[in-house]
Amino acid sequence: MAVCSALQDDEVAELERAMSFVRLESNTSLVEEGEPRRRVYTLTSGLLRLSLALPDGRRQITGFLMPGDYLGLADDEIYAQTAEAVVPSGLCSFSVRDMDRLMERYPRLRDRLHLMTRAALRQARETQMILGRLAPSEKVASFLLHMSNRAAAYGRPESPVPLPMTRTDIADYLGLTIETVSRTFTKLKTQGLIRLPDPHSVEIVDKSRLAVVAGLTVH
Amino acid sequence: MALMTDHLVRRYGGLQVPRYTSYPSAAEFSASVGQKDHETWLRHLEPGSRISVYLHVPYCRQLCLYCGCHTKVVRRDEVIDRYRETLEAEIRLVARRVKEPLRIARLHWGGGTPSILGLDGLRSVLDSLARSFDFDAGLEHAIELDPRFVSRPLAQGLAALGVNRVSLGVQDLDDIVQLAIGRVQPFDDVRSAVEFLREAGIERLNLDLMYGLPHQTCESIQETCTKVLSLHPDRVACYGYAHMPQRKANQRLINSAALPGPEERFLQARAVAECFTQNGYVAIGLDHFARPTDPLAMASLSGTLHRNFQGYTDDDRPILVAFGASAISQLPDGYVQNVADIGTYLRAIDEERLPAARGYRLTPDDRARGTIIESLMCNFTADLSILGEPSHYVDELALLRPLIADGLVRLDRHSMMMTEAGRPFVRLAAAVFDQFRADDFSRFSAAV
Repeated sequence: MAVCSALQDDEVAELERAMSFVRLESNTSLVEEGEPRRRVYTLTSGLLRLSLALPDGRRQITGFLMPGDYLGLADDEIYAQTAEAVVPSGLCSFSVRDMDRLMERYPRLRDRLHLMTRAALRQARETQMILGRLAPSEKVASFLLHMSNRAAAYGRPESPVPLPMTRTDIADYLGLTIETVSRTFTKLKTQGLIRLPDPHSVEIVDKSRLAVVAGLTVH
Repeated sequence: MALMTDHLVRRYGGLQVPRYTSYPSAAEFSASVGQKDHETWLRHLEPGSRISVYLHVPYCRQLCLYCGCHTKVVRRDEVIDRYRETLEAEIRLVARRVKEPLRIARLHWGGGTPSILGLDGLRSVLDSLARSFDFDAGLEHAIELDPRFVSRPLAQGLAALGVNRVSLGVQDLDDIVQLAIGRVQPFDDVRSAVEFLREAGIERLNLDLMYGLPHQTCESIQETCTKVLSLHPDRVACYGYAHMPQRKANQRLINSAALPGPEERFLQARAVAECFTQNGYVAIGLDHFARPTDPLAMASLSGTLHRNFQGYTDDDRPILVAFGASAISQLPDGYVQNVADIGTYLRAIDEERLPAARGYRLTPDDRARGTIIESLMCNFTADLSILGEPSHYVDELALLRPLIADGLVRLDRHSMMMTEAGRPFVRLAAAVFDQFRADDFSRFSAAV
C-alpha cells in the first residue's frame, strides 16, 4: 500500500493494527455526499465512481478512484462526494481519529499523507483540464491519458487502460452523450491512436499523437 | 522522404477505413429505408432530369477467388433468362413511379459478368429501358467485360448496341498471381480483347488492375503495368484487394500467407502510380489514371470530379437509378439498395414490389460531410466552412492535428488540403468527418 512505503517496519505494523478491510460489491456505495467524515479509505483493488447530486436530480460524475487512490483525505467534516463501487472493490480504511493519532506519532506518515493530499489536488486540477476541453475527442483523449498516467504513477502499465466503468459513466463524467463517447472511441481507433481489444479496456497505440489530439502538447 | 513515408505506412497502413464511394458508406445503410421511401424518392425526381443508370448482373461462368462482388456462378441459361426478364420487369416497375421522361445520360452494366446475358439478352434489356426512358444524344454506354470472353462477334455486337466504353478486368498479368487468384488470362487474351473492341469501334477502354494480391510484388506489378501501357488504355483503375475471408467464402481459398503486408501494399500502389504518371497519365483521385485528354482527367484538373460506386466520374450531378439484385441507387433524398439475395429479388419483382431492402435518408449534416469527404477523395482538398463556423468542427480539427503534425494535411483557416505525401492517406483524413458509429471496422478494407 502506497501510504506505507515511507514507513519503518514498526510503523507499518502499528498502521496495520489500526486498519480494517472493506469489500464492496458492484454498484454499492461506500460513502454518501454530505455524510459526516469518520473514516479515510485507500483503494486496493477495483474502481470507484465519485459523484455529486445536482439540484435537478441528475448526477455529475466527478472522477474515478483507482487502486492506490485515497478517499476522504482532503474533505472537511463531511464527505464532499458520493463514492460507489463500479466493480467489486477492496479498500483499506482507518478511522479519522486513529489517523490523526498516528500522524502525531509518526511525522513520516504525516509527510506521506501530505503528499497524497497534494496528489489528489493535482488530479482535481487535471480533471478540470479534461472537462475544460472543448471537443469530444480532446476530452476523451485527455481522459484516457489521465487514466494511463495515474496507473503508471502507481507502477502499473500505461496501457492497456482498464475502463471497467460503463460508457454512460464516462459520458456523465465528460459531460457528453453516450453516442458521442462511443463515436469518439471509434474515431480515435480509426485514426490508429487507440485499440479497443474489449469493451472495458483501451490500448494506447500512440501516446504522443493522442496527446496532440487532446491538445495537451503543441505540434 | 522515403524513410518518413515508411514510418507513416507502418503507423497508418494497417488501419481499416471505408473507401467512401458514398457517404455514409453502404455498411451504414439500414432497413429503416425501404420500398415506400424508394417510391417517394423516385417521384421526387424532376421530369426531364438527366440520370445515370446502373444495371447489375450478379452471375459469372466461374468465380474468381479474389472477388468481393455480389455474384454467383451459373451454368444453366434458364436462370440467366429468368433474371434478365425480372430486370426488365423492374425497369417497368420503376418507370411507372417516375415522372416521365427521364433522360439517361450514362448507362453502366456491372456485375458479375453482364455479357453473360448474351447480345440478345442485353438488347432486350436496352429495349425495355428505351420504352420507358429517353436516351441522351451523347449517351455514355459502358460495360464491364471479362477479357477471357471477349470475342470478335461479341465486340461487334456490343458496338451495334451502342456500347462506347468498356472496362476490362485485367487484375494482374503475372502467371503465378493469376493462378493464385483463380483467373488465368494470358496477356495475349487481354490484347486480343482490346484489339477486337477497337476494331469494332469501341475506343474508350478502361483497364482495371489490382494490387495487394497473393504473390504480387512491386516488380511483378510493374511488369503488369508495362504490358498494360503497351495497350494504350484511356483509363486505368487500380484497386487494393480487400481480403475478407470471414465474409467471402471464395476468398478463403486464397492463401493469406501469400498476401503482401500493409507496407508492401503501399509500395505496390505507389509503383502503379509511378508507372502511369511517368508515362503520361494523370493521376485521378486515389486509384485512377487517365490520359490528359480524357474527360475524367479534365474533370480532375478542373476540380469537378465526383465519386460514385464505380469509383470516379465526371458526371456533374449524379442521380443514379440502379436495377438488379444488390444494386444501389443514389437519389437526391438518399441511398436505396436492392435486396442482395437473388431469390428474394426475383420474388419481390414477381409480386410487383420494388425490391428495396436497405438504404439511408440524407440529413443536411450528412450532405455537408459527404461533400467534404467526396471533395477530399476526388480533389484532395475540402472547404470546411460548409460545416459552419469553426466552433462547429472543433472535434474534426482536434482529430486532424496528428495528420497535420505528420505533414499529411495542411490547413489554412477553413480550407484543408492533403499534401503530396498525404495523398495516399486521404481515406484517414476523410474518416475524420465520418460521423457514423461502427464498433466493428474489420468489414472495411485496409486504408492503403
